[in-house]
Amino acid sequence: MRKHGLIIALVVLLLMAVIGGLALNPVLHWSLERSLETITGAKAEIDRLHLDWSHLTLEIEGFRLTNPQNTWRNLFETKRFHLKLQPEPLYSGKIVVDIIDIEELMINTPRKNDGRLRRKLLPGPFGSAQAQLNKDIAAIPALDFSSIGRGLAQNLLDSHKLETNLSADRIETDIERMNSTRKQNTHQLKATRQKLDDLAERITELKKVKTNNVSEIPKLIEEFKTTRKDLETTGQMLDETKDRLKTDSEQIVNAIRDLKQTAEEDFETLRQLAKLPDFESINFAQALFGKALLNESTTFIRLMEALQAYAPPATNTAPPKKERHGGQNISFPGRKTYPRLLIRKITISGKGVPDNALQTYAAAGVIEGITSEPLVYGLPLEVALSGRSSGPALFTADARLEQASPDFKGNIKLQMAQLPLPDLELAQDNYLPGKISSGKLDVLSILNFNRDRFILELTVDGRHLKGDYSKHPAPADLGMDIVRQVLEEIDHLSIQYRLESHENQLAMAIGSNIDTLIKNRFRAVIGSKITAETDKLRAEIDAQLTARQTQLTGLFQKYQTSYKTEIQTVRESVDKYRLEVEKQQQELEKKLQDKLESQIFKKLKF
Amino acid sequence: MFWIKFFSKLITLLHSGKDPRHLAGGFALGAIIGLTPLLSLHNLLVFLAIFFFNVSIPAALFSIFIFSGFAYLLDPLFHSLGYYLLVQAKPLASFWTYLYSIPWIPLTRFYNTVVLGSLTVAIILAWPIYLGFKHGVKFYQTHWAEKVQQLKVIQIAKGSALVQFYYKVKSWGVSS
Repeated sequence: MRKHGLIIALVVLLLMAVIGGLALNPVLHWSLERSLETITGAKAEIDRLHLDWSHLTLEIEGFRLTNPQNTWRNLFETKRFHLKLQPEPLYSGKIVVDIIDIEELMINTPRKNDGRLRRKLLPGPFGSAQAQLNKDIAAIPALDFSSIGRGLAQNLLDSHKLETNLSADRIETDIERMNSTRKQNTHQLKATRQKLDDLAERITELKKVKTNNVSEIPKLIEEFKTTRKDLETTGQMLDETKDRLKTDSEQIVNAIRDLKQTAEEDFETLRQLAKLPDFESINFAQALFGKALLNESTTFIRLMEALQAYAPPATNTAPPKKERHGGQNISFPGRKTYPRLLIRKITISGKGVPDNALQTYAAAGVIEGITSEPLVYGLPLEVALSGRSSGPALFTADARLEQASPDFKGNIKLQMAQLPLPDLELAQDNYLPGKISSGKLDVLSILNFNRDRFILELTVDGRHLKGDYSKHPAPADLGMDIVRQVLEEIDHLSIQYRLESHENQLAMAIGSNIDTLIKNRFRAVIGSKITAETDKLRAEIDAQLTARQTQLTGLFQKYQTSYKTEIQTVRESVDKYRLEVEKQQQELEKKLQDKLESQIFKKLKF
Repeated sequence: MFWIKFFSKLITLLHSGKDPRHLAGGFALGAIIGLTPLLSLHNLLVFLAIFFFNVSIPAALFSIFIFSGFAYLLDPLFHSLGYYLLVQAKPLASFWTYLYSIPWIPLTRFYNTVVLGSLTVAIILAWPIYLGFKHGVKFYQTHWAEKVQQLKVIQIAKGSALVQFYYKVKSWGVSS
């Protein structure tokens, strides 16, 4: 025998015993915390850990595991965690836990600090399916109602050229053209006045001529006839001008009057241009709650991936491949055959008082049959848990997993009743309230699955809910305003959510009575808004019409009146002179006739 | 370089002046470790045997070195043999079942095809390896030792660091 070898071996064993005794617990403590953090992606804290080799028990005091979904809360917190191992399976390299006893298990307790760690993305095929579903969610049209609402009428008027204005511009152009024609005619009227003055002078001169000569009187009469003809010609010209003026005036007046019809057409055109979003076809429940529900579903998807990976291979699989360098482990039945890992039973005491009345629960219950080799263990996994808060809220969780059956399947039922909601904070969202300030919630979630697919059905029932928007900025558009009005106070909210997976495809469906509530509100509000905007549009168009008509009428009358007066004055002068000439002519003709009668009478007397 | 180291070790071993039985014993035990997967319970027993019994540790180490290389190439053969013994040899099924139910036996991983196959081959070959190496050493020491000692390469190798280390370890008395 080699003494030195023996001494070295003893020294090594002694060192291992001392190191193991002193450092094993701290090393285990650290390892367990890091392992849990790696698995969950959030902080795990253990106050004290003690492994008793002689009794094969593990005792943990003050165990807190952060909720990865909300790092300011613990998933659970327990005062004492006691685990007892069976020694015999250890010799086979197997771990069989007789019992895990958990004392004062509290769920969802608040943390003093943020338990965030860097989180991994969801791996495997569910990752791609979840990414696809996220894309589908992103493709849902956002609730964008910026086209509805304030200043619609003004926007339309600003953006569209009214035909009324265009027509009025054309009428104005016609009036201006008429005015320029009138200016030319005014010159002609001046010339006519001048001519009339000349004719008046001539008449005066003719009237001065006093002759009794029978041969000169006819000449004088002819002069008067010529003058009269000139006056009649002038009069005719004036009449024609007056008629033309009348015709043009009527045209302008009719055109101004017809602007009203054009304004009506403009109004109809703008009404058709005011297109409103088709809110009837929007699934508001999906748009409002889809993203949040899908994010919360990540927990279920992870659970499903873990459970379905846990499934033993189907019986119709091909024989295992022959390994080369690593070898192949062959299992044999034994009198006491244990799976590699088995936790027979976990009991949760149900002791303890939840401190935060609203969101923390003291849990109680039993879990049986957690194992890595369900076929070897042969029994199903069963869970029966309940939790109570210091208020009326309760939760229950029941699950059964037929892990030893060839048809690997299971169901999980989670129920929360009378969950009070004061100060329940929600994720930041423009449409959803920042928190629910009052109300109660019932949640029922049923998950059925087998090795290939799962179906999650979630029903949420809320009563007398009041949403708090005090920390939100003002609504950006009418649609947001309407949604907030509905969500500010709801007597009864019901949401039905279904998530189904089959062959790595995920399908989601959300339904809720919130759809009906919001759509009814939309119809009421939008309807009245549309009427107000329509009236506003009408008033704007009428105002513009009246303004243009007034302007055009004023412009038209300004020139027309003065010109008409001028023509009338000249016409009156023409008529006066014509009458005078006619009178003089008649007098001369009578005088001539008398003279001729007297001459004839004289000749007859002889 | 590999072959230089190989021959250097071999020559050092053969010229160590130890009893050929001790050399052969160490060589045979080392062959068991070399042929089987290192992290197996039986190898712990073999290691303890090497340390506690009067066999040549350098010979054992040399043998582990040699046979590990062979083992990697022979793994498929070991796997086939192990599979045959564990699964296909029906008369042995009850024996394996009995062994499997003994609490500490499964720690030996005998239920692994490569472990069982390689261990079986190693045990079967242990005695022939012992005899063969013993006779080989005797023959070498009788007929070849002197001649090899005179070779220039041996003179150079003696001055090498490895040889120096060997002599140093020898002076500790571990291999006494």
